[in-house]
Amino acid sequence: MSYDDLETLLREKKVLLCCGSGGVGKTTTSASLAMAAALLGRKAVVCTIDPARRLANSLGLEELDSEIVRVDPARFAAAGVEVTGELHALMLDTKGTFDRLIGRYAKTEEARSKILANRFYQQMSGTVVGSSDYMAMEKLYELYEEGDFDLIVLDTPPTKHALDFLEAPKRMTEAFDESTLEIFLKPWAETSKRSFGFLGRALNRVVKKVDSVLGLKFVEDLADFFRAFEGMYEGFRGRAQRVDALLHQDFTAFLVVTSPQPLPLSEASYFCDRLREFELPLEAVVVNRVNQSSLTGAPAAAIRGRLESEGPRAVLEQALAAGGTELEPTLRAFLDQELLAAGDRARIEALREGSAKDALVHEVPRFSRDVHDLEGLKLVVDHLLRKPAQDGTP
Amino acid sequence: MSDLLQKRLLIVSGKGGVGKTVISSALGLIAASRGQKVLLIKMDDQGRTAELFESGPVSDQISPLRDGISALNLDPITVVTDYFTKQLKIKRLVGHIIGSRLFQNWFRVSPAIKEMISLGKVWDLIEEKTWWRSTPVWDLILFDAPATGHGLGLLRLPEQASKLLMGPLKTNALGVQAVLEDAERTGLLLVTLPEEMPVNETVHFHTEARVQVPRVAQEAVILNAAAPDRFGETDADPATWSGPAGQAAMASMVGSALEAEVTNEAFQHAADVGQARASLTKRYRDELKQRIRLPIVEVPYMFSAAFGFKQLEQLSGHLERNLIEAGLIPAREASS
Repeated sequence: MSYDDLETLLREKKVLLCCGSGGVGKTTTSASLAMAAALLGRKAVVCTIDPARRLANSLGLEELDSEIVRVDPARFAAAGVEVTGELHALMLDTKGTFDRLIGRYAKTEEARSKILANRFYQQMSGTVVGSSDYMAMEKLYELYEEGDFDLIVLDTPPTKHALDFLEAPKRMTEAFDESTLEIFLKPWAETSKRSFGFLGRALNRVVKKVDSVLGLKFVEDLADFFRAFEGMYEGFRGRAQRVDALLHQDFTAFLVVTSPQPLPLSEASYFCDRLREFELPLEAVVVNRVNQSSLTGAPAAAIRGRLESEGPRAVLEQALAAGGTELEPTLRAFLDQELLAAGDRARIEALREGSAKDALVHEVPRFSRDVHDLEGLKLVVDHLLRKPAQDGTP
Repeated sequence: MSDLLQKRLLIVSGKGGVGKTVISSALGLIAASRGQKVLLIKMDDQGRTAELFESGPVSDQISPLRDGISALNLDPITVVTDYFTKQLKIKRLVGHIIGSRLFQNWFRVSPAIKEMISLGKVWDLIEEKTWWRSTPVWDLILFDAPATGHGLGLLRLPEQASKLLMGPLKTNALGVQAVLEDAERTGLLLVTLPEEMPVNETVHFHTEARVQVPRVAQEAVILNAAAPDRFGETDADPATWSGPAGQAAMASMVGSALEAEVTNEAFQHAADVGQARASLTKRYRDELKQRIRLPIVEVPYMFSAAFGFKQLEQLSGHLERNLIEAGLIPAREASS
């Protein structure tokens, strides 16, 4: 049973994960959803990945502030927004979160500092894409377990491979699995008499070869890295399982954010399919920056056909001639707008009938301004809380 | 006169969603129409390139898109399989190992190795010569780089890797580094949009790249989806122009052409939206000019319902004119 509006979703859920490709306004949507929940009287927190500085500042976050900050009610008052709940915000600090996780599961202080000092760890924890996927999940769990919030909104990292982050904890633990460690560590110890089965023996041989291809120093460093993780596996695995369980809870919802352009929309429908495949609760798709049509009285598809065919264009040229040159910019702007709107409409309908058919598809129009302050967020909030019309248009 | 298209490798970088795929495809069309053999290299292509060219899918094997232009989706696993097969010469065994879940998981979390091997593959393709004439197989390689942020890491990788590695991979890293730092052969293009986040990220990337990879030649900023300034200095309020009668006449003409109802407000709305778009473009164009000392080449906003090969051709026509105007590529010979 899918939701009819976002308001009910925001009132009922405890965890909301916003996913989508880059450049579709995911961060703004996440912040607005949390703000909407605060407007509805809930205590909400939003964890963002990489907000525009002005947006962050408008929430009262300094650059790279990884501490939870409550947005000052005075800011809302100044913006003329009445908030009965609370809005908190923080930015994901991949490296800091990873360091804390290591601290949590390292057996000894020595093991901890050894990992933190390892060159591979430093590179992996700070820069590599996969680790921010993992750390977003880790942060979510931290917030869930340690925070005292009615609603957590997580802005997930833009992933190339849709929903990589869902598998990140599992992949990461598998990579540090005892058997992986064994296979990587044994070849450098005395030649082992133990049999690992076909794969193990083969890997053993290949790893030796790889060693000669890559150069010894490289493999040694890497082995060192994996060795440092020895004994932490149980901790990692338990945590990954708990994160996974959290994602499948009834009070958790996934929300796909997209824009109506062809590429983001096709990625969005791929996200939807994958979520279904993982049996994760996809509840809503938010389509940002939808170009609005001002034409009524004919189906969108028919209008699009007429706009694109040459006949009506010729008549429009006549209208231009009749209206005189001073009306030309307006008429051209009108045609631009209607063409974009017609394309958006067709693509969104295809999504509604296709991959998102079991979910609420909520449209937010393109604004003629950047959203980077509380007034701007309020505008988005108003559109998010608006009840959709029967035909789905906002 | 300089000619961007005479380089061997153009790296097209930018934040996710700014249109790198479209811009690199358009550059490919321009180069191919000037007689070059072009290879478009993608990472994680999800079918968009094939849609743009209305061609067959882009895969991990080089396949033609249109006359003179081919594409390759660089899949790290395929590349690493090829690499190890070549080095170790035991194909079945390598297949077994690499196909295992264990290896795949390990490979995906291991830092930098897949990126380095992918860059090594790009280098191989640049160096690849035809056996009959020993001329390069590809005149121009367009590399549609991963989103910036990771993009800078990618550019720095060869230097870092060459310090860390030994053996063949070190040779490989040094080779890649030499190509990246050779301004004769390699150029970097920064694609952006007239919006806050993409512009900030472009400025940041430009500044950081100048410090961290100073020898990589940054050639130009490409400002995609630049909205036309249709209104100029005029007042955008249609009501002040032809009066209510003029507007009503226009609305009824447009309405009958489209067989739909048009209100006067529709024109007002369109005018507002158009003007807002144009003023954002102006603001961010000015900001880019002020903060980045590189030629800024604009690509106009494409107002169309769909975006396929026809629109790609139109867009590359605009891009070509603006590249010529910026002095980055020569005008075509009159005869051709």
